[in-house]
Amino acid sequence: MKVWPARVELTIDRGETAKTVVRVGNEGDKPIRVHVYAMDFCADKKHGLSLSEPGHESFSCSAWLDLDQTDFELAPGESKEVKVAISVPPEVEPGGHHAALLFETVSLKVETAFSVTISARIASLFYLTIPGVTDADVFASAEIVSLTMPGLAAGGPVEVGVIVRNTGNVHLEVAATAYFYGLWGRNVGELDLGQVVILRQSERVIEANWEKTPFLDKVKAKVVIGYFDEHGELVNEDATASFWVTPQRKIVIAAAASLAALLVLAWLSRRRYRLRLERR
Amino acid sequence: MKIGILLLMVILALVVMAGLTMSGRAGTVTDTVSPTVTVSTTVSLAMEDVSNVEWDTPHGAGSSLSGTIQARIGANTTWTLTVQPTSGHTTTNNLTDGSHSIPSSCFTYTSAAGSPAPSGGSGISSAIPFDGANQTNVWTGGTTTADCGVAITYNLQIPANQAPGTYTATHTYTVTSG
Repeated sequence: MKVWPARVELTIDRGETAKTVVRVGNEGDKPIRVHVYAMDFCADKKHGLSLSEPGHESFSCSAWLDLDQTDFELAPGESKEVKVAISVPPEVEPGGHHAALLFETVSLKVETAFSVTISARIASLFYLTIPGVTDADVFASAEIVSLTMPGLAAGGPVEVGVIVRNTGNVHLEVAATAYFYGLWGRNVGELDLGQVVILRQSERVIEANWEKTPFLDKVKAKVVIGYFDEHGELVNEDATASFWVTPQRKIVIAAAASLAALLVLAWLSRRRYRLRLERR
Repeated sequence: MKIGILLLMVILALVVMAGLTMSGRAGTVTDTVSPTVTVSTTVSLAMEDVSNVEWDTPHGAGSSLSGTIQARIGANTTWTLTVQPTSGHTTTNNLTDGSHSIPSSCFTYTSAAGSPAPSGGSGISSAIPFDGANQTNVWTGGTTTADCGVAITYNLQIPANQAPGTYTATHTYTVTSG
């Protein structure tokens, strides 16, 4: 099953109704039954998506969605449009509101001794912006809460991340990049951490693995986040943290090998000295 | 006279040539076409090998069962795959025969890259139980892909004192963008 668009962003005034279309297609070789319904959702700090019944989440708009059809069958290769009317109540808080429109395949239950019926669904996430009376009623801002990285790393991959909090009142797409500098300030790497959508009054982690670390260095990581504010202006914020890259195991092995070599040399030197004495 | 006719013919030829040239230029008309297309965020999901978690032969209490299914995903955006039991025991969505249920601690899963492997993200390497009340992660941080697979391995440990019966549940896999 394929759904598109998987993300819908609309700006709708209070008391107004907007219409959009979400399409679903059957990419398999058997007919499928599809059930469409709206639910609330939130995204927790660690990417986890949580779905709940309509009206459960703050800033939910799932009750505003009206579908022209909710149950239908799709033949192999067939696709269908689901028309969605979004009616914004006249009295609603300005800013961001969100909901998930779920397309679920209905599977036949199998009754065997122990069995699990597997069902699949795809969410099309709706992000709505409701303007207020003035432009100042909707504002987009974010702040870096903290950086997540180890204090000491043996080498790559090193998990580097940033916790970002949406301090505005509308959903925000935030991108992050990490820049790494060595002990003498030279650039030793750069890492695209990716980008995520952060709901209003929520926090999310943006992280990635840094593979090509230096062999031995004190690394200063500068993480820069970027997003567009309510005027469409690019805003950057940054934070720095340091950590050591020390391949402890390799250092211990090298030290042990050096010590062993020194001991062998010392023994050989002493033996040679004794032989000289004996000859005299 | 002959010179006059010759001159007239030359002039006529020049006029015809000029006319052809001008008409040739007038016939060469260029215009531009700008094809445009809007590409939406698109996600696809198919669950494969689902019969691997339909253990049809009777099993004694105390048995261990396992099975692997695969989720095939396509997306032109970042994605996350989660799972949640959505039917089963009335309150916990555990495996149930209607009267008895198998505790969620006995029913766990792990996930790993399938075939073809996802180009980014990670699965669940240490077994965790299914949670009837919440979505739990199967694959996080997935990146754009035309087609990839995530293998989910189910492990069921039937308690030694489990009442006889036919135990079923429904597990719903959800893929979301971003």
